[in-house]
Parts: sequence; C-alpha cells; structure tokens
Amino acid sequence: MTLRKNAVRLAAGGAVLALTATACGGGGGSSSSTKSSGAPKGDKGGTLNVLLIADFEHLDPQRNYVSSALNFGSRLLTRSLTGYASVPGPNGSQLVPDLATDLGKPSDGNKTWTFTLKDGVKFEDGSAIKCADVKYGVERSMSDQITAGPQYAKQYLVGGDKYVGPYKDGGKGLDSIQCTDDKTIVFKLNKAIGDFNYTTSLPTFSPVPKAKDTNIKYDDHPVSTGPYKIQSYARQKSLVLVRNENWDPETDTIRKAYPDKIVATFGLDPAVIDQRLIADAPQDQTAIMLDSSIQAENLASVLNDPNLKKRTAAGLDGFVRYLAINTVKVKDLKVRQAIEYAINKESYRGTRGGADAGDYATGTITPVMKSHKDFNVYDAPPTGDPAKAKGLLTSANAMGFKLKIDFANTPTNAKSGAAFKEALDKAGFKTTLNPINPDTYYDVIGKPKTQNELSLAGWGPDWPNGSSVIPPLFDGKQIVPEGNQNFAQLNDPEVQAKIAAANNETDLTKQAALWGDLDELIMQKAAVVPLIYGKTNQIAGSKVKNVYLHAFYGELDMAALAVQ
Amino acid sequence: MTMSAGDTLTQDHAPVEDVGAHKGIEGRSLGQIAWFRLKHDKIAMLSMFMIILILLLAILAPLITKVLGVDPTTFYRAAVDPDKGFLPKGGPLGSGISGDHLLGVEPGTGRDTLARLLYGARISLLIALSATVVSVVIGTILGALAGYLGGKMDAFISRLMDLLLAFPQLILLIAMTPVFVTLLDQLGVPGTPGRVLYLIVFIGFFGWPYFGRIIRGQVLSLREREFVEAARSLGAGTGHVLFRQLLPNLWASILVFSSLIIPTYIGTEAALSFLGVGVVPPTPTWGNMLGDSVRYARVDPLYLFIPGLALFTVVLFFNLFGDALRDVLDPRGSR
Repeated sequence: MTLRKNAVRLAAGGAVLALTATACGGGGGSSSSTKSSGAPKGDKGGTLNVLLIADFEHLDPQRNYVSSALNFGSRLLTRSLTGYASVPGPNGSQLVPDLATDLGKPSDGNKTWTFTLKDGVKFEDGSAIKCADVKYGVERSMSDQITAGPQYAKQYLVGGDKYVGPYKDGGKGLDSIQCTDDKTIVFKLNKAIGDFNYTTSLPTFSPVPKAKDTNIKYDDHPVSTGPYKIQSYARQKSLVLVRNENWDPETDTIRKAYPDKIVATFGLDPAVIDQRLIADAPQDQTAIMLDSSIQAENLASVLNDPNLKKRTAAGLDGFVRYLAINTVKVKDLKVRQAIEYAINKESYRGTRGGADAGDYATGTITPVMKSHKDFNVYDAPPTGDPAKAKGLLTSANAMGFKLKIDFANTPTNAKSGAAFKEALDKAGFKTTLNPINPDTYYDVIGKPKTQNELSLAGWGPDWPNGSSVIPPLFDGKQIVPEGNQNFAQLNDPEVQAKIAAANNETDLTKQAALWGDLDELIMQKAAVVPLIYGKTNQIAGSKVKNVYLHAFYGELDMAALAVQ
Repeated sequence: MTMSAGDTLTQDHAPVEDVGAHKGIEGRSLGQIAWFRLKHDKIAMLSMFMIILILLLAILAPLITKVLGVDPTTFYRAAVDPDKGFLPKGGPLGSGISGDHLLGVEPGTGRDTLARLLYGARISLLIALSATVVSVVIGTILGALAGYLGGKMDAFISRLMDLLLAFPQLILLIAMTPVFVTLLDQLGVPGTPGRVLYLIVFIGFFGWPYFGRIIRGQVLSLREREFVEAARSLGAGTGHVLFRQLLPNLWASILVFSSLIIPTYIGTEAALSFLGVGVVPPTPTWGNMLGDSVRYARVDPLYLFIPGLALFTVVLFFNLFGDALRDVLDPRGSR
C-alpha cells in the first residue's frame, strides 16, 4: 500500500470527520440507515446542480484519489476495468465489471490477471477504447509528473518500482502490462494477489488516449469514457458536463445517466449549501451537496421536520474510528484487554455529537463491506465495563499502568481524549493526553519508535474489501520507521500467515469470509479498540430522485441521481 | 511631586487640594500621595476590587467548586441529552443552566462550565502574572543597564530589543512549541506543568523589550540628575547607583507597565490556547473553552458568551486599573 497517499486519504478522512462531527452537534434522533428500495429508477433529462465547498483535487483519472472527486470522476467521466454497483444499501460495495467483460481471470497462482474489454466502448471522440489505451493510462500513473494518485500499479506490477513512466521511458513501455490483442490486457504481478480486480476499480486503471495526453494539463479535460463529457471547466468556479454521445448505455451496467446536464459550482460555504438546500428555492430544487454534510446547527431541525427528512440520506461514511493499542509498549494481552473493557464508547461518541456521528464499532471492517463479520469479542455495554477492566488489570499485576494517548489537537478530539482519560483512570490506569498538531499528526504517530501507548486514528479503505483494511493496518511486514500505518505495531506470525492466505484466495466470497475471521482474530489479540463506524447526513433538493448514500463512496451516488 | 499641565484627569485635582486645605501642610511621601489619589478615583477602586475578587475566585477555585459539588473534569452525563447530539439539557438558550450547574455545561461532555471557568482562570492568570514578572525583571535589568552604561552596552542591548520586537512572536511560538515541549518532556517536566512553564518563559521573554525601552528612556534622563551625580562623586559603584538611586525612581513606571501588560498577556494566553498550543487537555483554560465554543454559537450561545465575558471583564479591569495607576503615579505621562 502506498503509505504517503493513504496517509493523505487518512487526513482527508480527518477532514470528513471534522465535518461530520460538526454536523452531529445538533443531533436529532438516531436516523434510519439508507433506504433500500431496490434499483433506482428515474426519468431522463433535466439539469442536476452540484454545490461544493471546493473544486475537485483532480479529475485526471490517474491522479484522482479523494472521496468526492472519486465519486464524481469515476461515476460520470472516467470508467475503469471494474467498478461498484449503483444500488442503495450494502450491495453498493458489490464489485462489478465496468470496461471489462468480467471481473478478470487470474492464472499462474494469482500472479497473472487477464481482462477483456467490452465491445463498443469508446472515448468521447468516437474512437474505440483499445488495450493500448488502458496500458498507457496505467503507465502514466507511474510517472513522477502524474502526482497525488494511488501507487498500487507501481507496487504490484513486475518492474513497476523501477519504471519511470511513459514520458521518460523512450517509448519502451512497461513489459508487465501486455496487450495480446486490442481487447485483451494482461497484468503480471510481482506477488500473488487474489483480489487484484478490486485494485482495478481505481481510476488508475482508466484508459487514456496517448495522442490526447496533455500531461498535467490533462486534469482540466480528461477524455471521457463515461456518460458525460466536460463542456467547460473554470477551475475553482464551475464545471459543466453534457452528455457524451459516444457512450453506449448497453456497455454500462453501472451508470444510469438520467440528467442531460450536470453543473458543479465550487467555493461555497458549507453553511450556505445547507441553507440553499433547506430553503429549496426553485433553482435549488434540482441541487445536491457532495463534499459537505449537514452542519451541526441544522441537523436537529432537518431531521425533526418530516418534509426535510424525506430529502436526506443518512448512512455510514465508510470510515472506522479506532484507538490503536501500541502492542510493543503494551505487551501484556490482559492489559490490552483491560483497555478494551475500560473504554467508554458512549461518552466518546457523545463528544462527536451522539448517535448521528456513527454506530458503535466492534471491528475495523465496516458493515458496508462484504468482508464485515458480526462479532463482539468484548461483550461490554457501550459505556464500558470498568469493573471487569479493573479485574484484568489486577490479575496482570498492572494497577496504575501508565498510558499516553496521541491525538490530533482539535477541540473535539480534546474532549474525546478527556472521555478516554476519564474511563481509563476509572479502571485503574494512569492516563495522560498527548495532543499533536493536526497538520503533522499522522507523520508524528507514523514513527513507531516515538509512538505512545494509544493513538486515535481513522481509516477509510481504498476499495471495499478487507484487503484494503487488514494488511495496511495490521501486517507486521508493513511496519516502517517513518510513515507507518500499522499503528498497533502488530507483528504476529499467525495474523501474517492468515493475511497471506486471504490475499491468495481468488473466490471473493471466500476471501471476504477470511478477512472477517482475521478482523475477529485481531480483536482477540486486542490490537485496537474500534470506536465507531462514521456516519454522515446529506440533503438534496425536492426534485432530485434516487437520493441515497453509496455504500463505498459514503456520499450521494453520482451514477444514480435523477431530476424530475 | 507637583501637578503638571500634562495631567488631563481634572477630577484628580479636587480631592488633593481639598484635603490639603483641610488638614494643613503635612509632609507626605510619594506613595501616600498616590494612594490618596487612587482612593478617590472611583473607577480605580472598582477595578481594584474586581481584580482582587477575580484573583480570589481563581485561588479559591477548588474550595468553591467543592462547596458547589462540581468538578472541572467530571462528565455530568445527566446534564446532556443523548437524543439531541449530547447538547446540554434545558436551561435558557440551550445552555443547560440549572441549580446543579450554575453556568451550564459543556456540550458533548456535560462538564461543568463554572468549574472549568474557575480552574481556567487559575491557568490563565498564573501564566499572565508570571510572564509579566519575567518581562519586568528582564526588562528592568537590561533597560537600566543600557540606559545607565551607554556606549557599546547600550548599542548591543538596544539592537537586541529591536531584533526581538521585530520577531513574529505568535508564529514563532506556534512553530517552536513541539520542539520545546519535547525538550521539557525529556527534562522531566511533562504535560501541563511543562506547557505552562514554557508559555510563561516564552511570552515573558518576548515581552521584555517593550518594557526595556521604557526603562532605558527613563534611566537616560535620570542619570543626568543631580542626585545621581552626587552619588557617583561620592564614589558609589554601578550597582549602588542602579539599585539604590535609580530603581526607587522607576517603581512608578514598573507598576504602571505591569498592570497594563497583564491583560495583554491574558489575551495572548487565550489566543494560544485557542490555537491549540496551550495546555494539555483536560486542563481547562479560557482560550480552549472559547476555541471549542465557537462551533456551538448557534445552538448554545451562552457557552460562547460566558468565557468570552470572563475574558472581557478581566482584561477590561486590568486595563482600567493600569490607566488609573498611570494617572496617579506618572502624571506627566500623556494619554
């Protein structure tokens, strides 16, 4: 996994959290999860307005890596080999073929993956998408000029670590991406990966026509392969998408493409976005929010008003918030178990705004993923079980065990930290808090040597499978001196062997079950205290249909929205 | 000391002359005159009373909270509403003000606002007062040395002051915090005591040049006076002249400056805590209370208003008192 880029996503998650945490201050009753009314239907036509706080970081497929841009770019403009179904509920995280005819065929012990492109898939200029375009797209993701995107291609493909990208390779290309004909693309991997087809859902694996590649300027007008194309793009101001006539709906099972036109407006204050959508003036009746969620001061009034509540979508944002237990500094399993029992999740969640901030977590794989397994290793109430924690601490002969908690210094986290301290001290620990500058937080705790006993962290996976959660967070081989993400510093042979086995399983259903078991095993080893699965609330104008949160993107599903 | 034309506070004239006429001529020291005039300045007396009251409240915070049965770190879960996003239950403007919690509770946790305000005052005032002492001590010594010795010493100290005055303190303070906090950690002064010490030293150190300049200017004029020349001609050393001859004449400036700089430092401490470079949670300060309350300005406005009012009051009264003190001790000082 790319440490730096994932850290970026982590940080972005922090920003999402800040938004949702604020959003929950006003708190209504516990809101129902996503409506599950089967496949979304709607009428074609109309203009959908998207109100955004900020411009997308990147729409260039090889640089697109942040939630809202991923949702917008992948669902409207740039197709990959695989993608996610556009249905409400947990089935949204179901992996489906996109440009490819199927989910890929592994061979050579999962080290070779073969995809076949569908017939009739075209770029916006009408030219057919060929294997060479996909190969070129993946190659350009490895160039040092194409920054900010995920780096999985570089890590997984044979020779990827040494490849300099198509601008500097003298036209040689990367040999581990092979085109046996115009339709068939073969990836040679440097290790066995049983779920490489999840990785190919990232826009890194989108085709780019070499003749149209404008290097870093490609960001302003990526050549569309999806149902829309860019008509005009004024950076930081607005983006207008119109129908791409060369997109054939017959080749696309994911995108519904109901509106004729999509207009994105950037640079709006989140409070203004709320006010406009709540007020529902005629021009905003066909508008939605995408990179913000309903703010604290409005949430209570929105959720208590049946007419407004109808227009909202609530659901999990895909992130898990947890407290990593540094297993190097807290070696005794009993002490770690005592921490599990001591933590008061209710009071933690209260500091983030209560039930609207999230559901109590029991593991690190969120319920929107197929790999999620229902278990509760530490059967304590949300308020914790201080008596049991005390008992464990006494039997470990560790009363007064000293704990220092790392957290990014924000007012909300300061309260959460106080909640942890109160609960842990009650159970017999001696806790101090260690607030760290939010800008450098993940750099600081990414140094295993100086990391303290407990660290507050959040994780949003790059694809909805356990392989994007368990290995980056708990594989002992991935502990590095700087930029570490295995915050529990868990280096356990049993866990490692099972990670290797799960990685090598091609049957995705079986693999999902293996990740679920691993999640439970890691909880038995008390490496983390899962706190909440984060929640978010969004609202749309009264004439917008198919308003639901997508299970993977944690936002309204750009592929399904329709206007009346 | 005679009244001069520079004195603009005319109400001060009356009592002095009044009393003088009544009691006849009596020898009075500078201190006595000052106290006398201060006593008759209503604003000065009110602000002095308020300052003493606030200091007492801060010092007696543990006692007061014990009597009220509250604590700054306890989560009063009954006072917040889990169904409404853990906002305070009841009270005017959603503040949770009740018989148990006289100033309401903190949203999200239910910690008592009054207890946090009182304990916060201890930290805020401790830092402001101690940093003032640091500034005054360094400023007096270096300012007096520069003014009295002149020459190269003066040039060196004056340039040092210029340099420090030109520093962007706040930015430097934010940037240096992690370094010094780690250093203090290693030296065995971790957590809140370490941060408080660091803030005192840092705020105090960057504040002394303002004061050093004033003292230097005073000493420059004083050292030419007859009593200094007399002392020197009798063979007095530098130390004697500085501490025995000059210092007593500087007290007025020192007092006035201190009372005016305290509110500035209270504000600085609040700003730093607001920015998250202050003390370690769960220790409350006014700054971090304000920093948290901004987000709740709409749903719980009193939570923002209460620490804001406290900060305003303290800064106002210290300023008023400082102004009054200046009028009394340093009548020539222009406004």
